[in-house]
Amino acid sequence: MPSSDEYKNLKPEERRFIQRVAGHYTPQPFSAARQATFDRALEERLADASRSPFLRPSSILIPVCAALLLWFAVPYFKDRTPPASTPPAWDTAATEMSDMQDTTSHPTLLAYVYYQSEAQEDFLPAEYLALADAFELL
Amino acid sequence: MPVGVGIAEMGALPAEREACFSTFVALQRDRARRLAWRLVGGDEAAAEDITQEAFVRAYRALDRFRGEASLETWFYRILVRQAYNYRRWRAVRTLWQQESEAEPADPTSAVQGDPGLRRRIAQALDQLSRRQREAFVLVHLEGFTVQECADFLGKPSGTVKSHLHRALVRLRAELADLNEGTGDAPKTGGA
Repeated sequence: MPSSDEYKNLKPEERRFIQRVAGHYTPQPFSAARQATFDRALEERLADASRSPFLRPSSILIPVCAALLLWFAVPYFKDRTPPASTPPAWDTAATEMSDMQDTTSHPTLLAYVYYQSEAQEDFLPAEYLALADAFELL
Repeated sequence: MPVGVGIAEMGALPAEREACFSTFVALQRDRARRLAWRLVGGDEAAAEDITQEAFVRAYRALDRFRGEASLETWFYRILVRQAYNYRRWRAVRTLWQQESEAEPADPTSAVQGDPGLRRRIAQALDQLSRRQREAFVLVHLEGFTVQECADFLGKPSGTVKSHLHRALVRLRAELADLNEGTGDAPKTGGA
């Protein structure tokens, strides 16, 4: 039953109210078996607490799990390539300019080189060839 | 070991301190469990777990205990905080699981008397603010002094008295059938 200093200053009806609440709102006392179970569990927890922090299961398991997670997760993220996206216009233009410098890859320049190396009549219109013959331009 | 012992009386050697701590556990176990049970709304398993955890935390931190307060004050401060943390996590779990009726506590387990009335008292205590509930349980139900309660809660005595007064008024309104002179027997059904 309550016996605090404040309790003694209360009115009689307030005391009786508190007595009723305290009487109804109380756990069942420990049975012998329950107390033994409680004591055993507490002893185990205290024994665990008295070990070095580095030897506690939680101190070992948590870093091991974290290491395993990293071991599996890092290669996964490392192998992932960023998704393909449309390059901006300025980037496309720069790429084309760069490609044009490479004569082996640009079709216009390839044709020019071919034009230089092959017979011109293969590429000139028939009328032009006739005129060229007439003026011996070729 | 007397209640309220400081670090000086506990002995300097680890073995002496462990022996003193064991005595302290034996002396405070029942009261600590009952206090935890009342603070968490009558949940037997939670009360036992909180009590054990409070003892373990006190034991782990024994080396850092400086003895400015008594070991009892220090321990009950840990216990009250543990009970509060449990209530917070329970509230989160309840919110997550949407089982507000089933989850909070099981005041009917391992107790005698009227389970319906016990549930109503638990619910009435739930409606108090954290400090009002802790002050009411510590002082009026467990019999700690106002000063001890103030030390546990880290609040001035005047604040604790104010909490006590408000808690009592609200509980008497909520549990009117437990008041004297109503002429009715206490209602037993849960809300």
